[in-house]
Amino acid sequence: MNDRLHPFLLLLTLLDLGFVHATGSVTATALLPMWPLALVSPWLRRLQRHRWYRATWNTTVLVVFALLVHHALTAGLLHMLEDGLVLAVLCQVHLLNNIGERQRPDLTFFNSFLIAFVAVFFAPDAWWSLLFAAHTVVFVPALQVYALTRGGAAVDRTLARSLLRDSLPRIAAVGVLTALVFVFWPRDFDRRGLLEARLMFGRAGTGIAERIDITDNQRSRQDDAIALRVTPIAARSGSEQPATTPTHWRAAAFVRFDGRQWHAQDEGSFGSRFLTDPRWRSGPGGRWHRPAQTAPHTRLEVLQFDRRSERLLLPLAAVAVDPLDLRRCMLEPQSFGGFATLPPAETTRGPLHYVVALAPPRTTHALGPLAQRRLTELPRGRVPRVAFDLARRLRAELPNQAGRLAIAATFATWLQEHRRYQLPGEAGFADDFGEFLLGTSAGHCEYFATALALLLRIEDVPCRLVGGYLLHEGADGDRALVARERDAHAWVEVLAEDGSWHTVDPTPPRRSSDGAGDAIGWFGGLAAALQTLWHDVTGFDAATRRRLANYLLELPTHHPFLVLLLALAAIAAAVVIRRRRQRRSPEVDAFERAVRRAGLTRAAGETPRELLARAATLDLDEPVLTRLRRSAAEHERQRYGR
Amino acid sequence: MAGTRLTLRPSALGTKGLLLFAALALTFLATNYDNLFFLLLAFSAVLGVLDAFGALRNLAGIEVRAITVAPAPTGSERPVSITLAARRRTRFALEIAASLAGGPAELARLDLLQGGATAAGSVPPQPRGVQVLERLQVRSRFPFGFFVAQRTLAGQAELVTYPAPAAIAHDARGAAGVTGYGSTPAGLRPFRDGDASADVHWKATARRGSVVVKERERDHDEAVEIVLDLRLRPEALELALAQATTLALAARHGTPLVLHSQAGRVRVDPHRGGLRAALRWLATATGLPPDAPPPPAPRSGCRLPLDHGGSR
Repeated sequence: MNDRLHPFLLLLTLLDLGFVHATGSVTATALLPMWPLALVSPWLRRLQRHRWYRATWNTTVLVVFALLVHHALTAGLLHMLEDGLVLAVLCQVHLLNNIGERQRPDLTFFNSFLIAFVAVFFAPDAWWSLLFAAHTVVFVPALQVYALTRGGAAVDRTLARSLLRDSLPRIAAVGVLTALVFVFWPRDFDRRGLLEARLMFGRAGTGIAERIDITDNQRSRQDDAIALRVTPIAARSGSEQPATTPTHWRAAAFVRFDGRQWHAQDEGSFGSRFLTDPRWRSGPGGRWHRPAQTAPHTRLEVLQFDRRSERLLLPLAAVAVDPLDLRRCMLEPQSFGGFATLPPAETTRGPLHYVVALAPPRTTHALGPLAQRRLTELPRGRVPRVAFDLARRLRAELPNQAGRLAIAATFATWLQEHRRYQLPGEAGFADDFGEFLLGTSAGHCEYFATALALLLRIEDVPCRLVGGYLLHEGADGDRALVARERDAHAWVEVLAEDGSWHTVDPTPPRRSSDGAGDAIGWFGGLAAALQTLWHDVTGFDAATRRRLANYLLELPTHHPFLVLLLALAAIAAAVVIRRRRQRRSPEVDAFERAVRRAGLTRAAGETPRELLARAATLDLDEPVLTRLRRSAAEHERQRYGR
Repeated sequence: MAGTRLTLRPSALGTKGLLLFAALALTFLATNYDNLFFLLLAFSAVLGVLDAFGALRNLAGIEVRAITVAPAPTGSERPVSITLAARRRTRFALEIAASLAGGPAELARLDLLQGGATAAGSVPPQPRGVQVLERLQVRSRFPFGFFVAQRTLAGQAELVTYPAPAAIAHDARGAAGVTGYGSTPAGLRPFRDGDASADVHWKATARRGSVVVKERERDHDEAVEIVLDLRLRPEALELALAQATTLALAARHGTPLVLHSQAGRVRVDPHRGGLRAALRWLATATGLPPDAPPPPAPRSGCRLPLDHGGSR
């Protein structure tokens, strides 16, 4: 590796450390020694001719590798990717300090790209985008320096300056072309993976699962793709209910908990005999409805982009569904008050489009003993003891006659106030559910919902866990609301004494760090804008592309002055570039002057030497000839460097 | 000297990169669509495409203006300078190579080409002969090193490789008449090995009791006359050519040399030149069959190879 390349590789390694740090999956302590080892590498690598130096490094890498394998075996394979990141970044530092003069740093480049690549699955946020932009700015010239120094070039100041001048447009070209490919390359945004069911990525994504496994601490991708878009149509005049859009949209309900997994209410054939909610009935025109306490007060137009869950997303208060375009899917009512969607054999892409009418559904009075038992069932011996202690303590704070909803509200509030929210994979996330209940570590919505459900069932309050989406993000002004894949959520529904179901969400509001807009000042604004831009990238879909294309097509109509300004700027830039290309060196000008003074004219394609030879045959004064020779020599030296 | 052919192939780094890209693309297809995954794939693809385009563009419009290469003996490297010219853009990391008798050889490297520049390098040792450099290969891995672009450019240069000089003993040089051999006697001197018996001054020898020869004044147009019979066996011929090279090189600064052979007469003179032609002749000389006519023999020339000569 050439000395000139080393600073670029050092920068790449520092950025790799930044990537790993940004994932939050690796503790700062583990990365702490690597920063100084990378920073002092310009001096440390001078020792690589000593055998003890190389032996120490190799032994260290082997020991760390063994420790990481041990960690993976003891802590579970769930941490394998995090351990892999530590090993990858250690290898980068190792290579930085140990690549010899004659060794190629190919691995450093590939490793660096892979670290950036893997990090996006851990921390796909705006900070990653900033780091990746910086990575590109270093990566491109580093490759150029590598291509240049591979043949042993000595990069002097002139060469470095020329290289830098060459690099900048290339970096810009890489960025612009990548953006153009990303925006305009035709592709299916809903494409299912060939091995979706078998590979980890399919499971790791956010969304609605068939079962909820609370032992699965694997970090999920925080996908920004839009899953649901809800627009209020109109509120019924004279209705007492405000035309508000419900926040919790249900996909599946989970009733049976085996200590590790929540099983869907309709799992197997049991669901059909276990009706807990008013039954849906089909009507003319594909309309579905169910008994309600009042007439519908709100109608909502829904675009459901999430097709993977194979459920129709509905709020608890849905009493009628009018399909507008269900992509030829059939609907199958579920015992919990939702629908399963049965896609046709020739699945058509695109969102499901339907209208939902809201009203309080009729209550369920006649729950059989089996259903009652199922809704209060606890896995024998699989509930942490701390849950019983906690339930008794919290119940003791309430009066004896407190109803189910009051108990549920108290328990939920206590959880919100006394337990911390964190996503799996983040520092401080609980290793298991028991740790979360104890309060020593943080947990995510499934932990909060499970905790509440267990506490309620300990107190014989019938409840179930529900999975769906949390609708909270505004779009198109203040009318429509959207939920993204990362807004997949779990909460609890409690069966009140009157047979009505009520949503109780024990998860505290999302962390403020999720929204950079909470920061104040220009930096906060910048961070918020960046965050929004990044959401546009991660949530990019066919609809966004259509909107962008329309915006660009309508730009000349809506902003003619802007388009004119851009056109003028482009023309000015083209003129400047053309002039710069045509600019000649002073030596060439001097030669042309000397030729003119000699009364000669250069023939087409005639070289200075040929002209000199022709001039020697003419009867020219000696001073004129001398000047011509001198200027020709200068011209030649400038052109050919000799 | 315009360019002719342009090729592009992946380098070792590029092959590894393509494999990695293929693995990532397969993983992308195996999993559900993801925007960030696609973004990174797009970035990698753009990097590769821009590299291929940049590598071809780096070689576009380059011309060979001049190739300067001196004759050299077999077994020795020789310096070469190649002047390239290119308009508009700056070019980087150009490797200049050629297909020579010993196989492809890298001649020179130019890290920066702005307008015009001369690359200095060396030609590896070549076998005896004259090769015409009609084409040069200009290669480049710039900008990112994933691809190697190569352009074949027309050039015009002659690569003269003459025999490596063989050491000749001083006495042998005398035998070749290097000490001077004219028609006018200038005095007497003691006999030395290699002196002709016709030059022995018998009277003086009898008088002094030791062999004395006549020292002759050099003629105005004196020259070392050597005869190279091309009917020699190949080994002997190579030795004779090597000795002739030694004498020809010595003749640059000393007595002129005239080399006679069946192919004609070659003269090297410190004042009138002729060395380049002589070396070219020595580079191209080939043996003749035994039944070929003998070379024209001058009155006082010696024949190569010299018995007292030693090969390097």
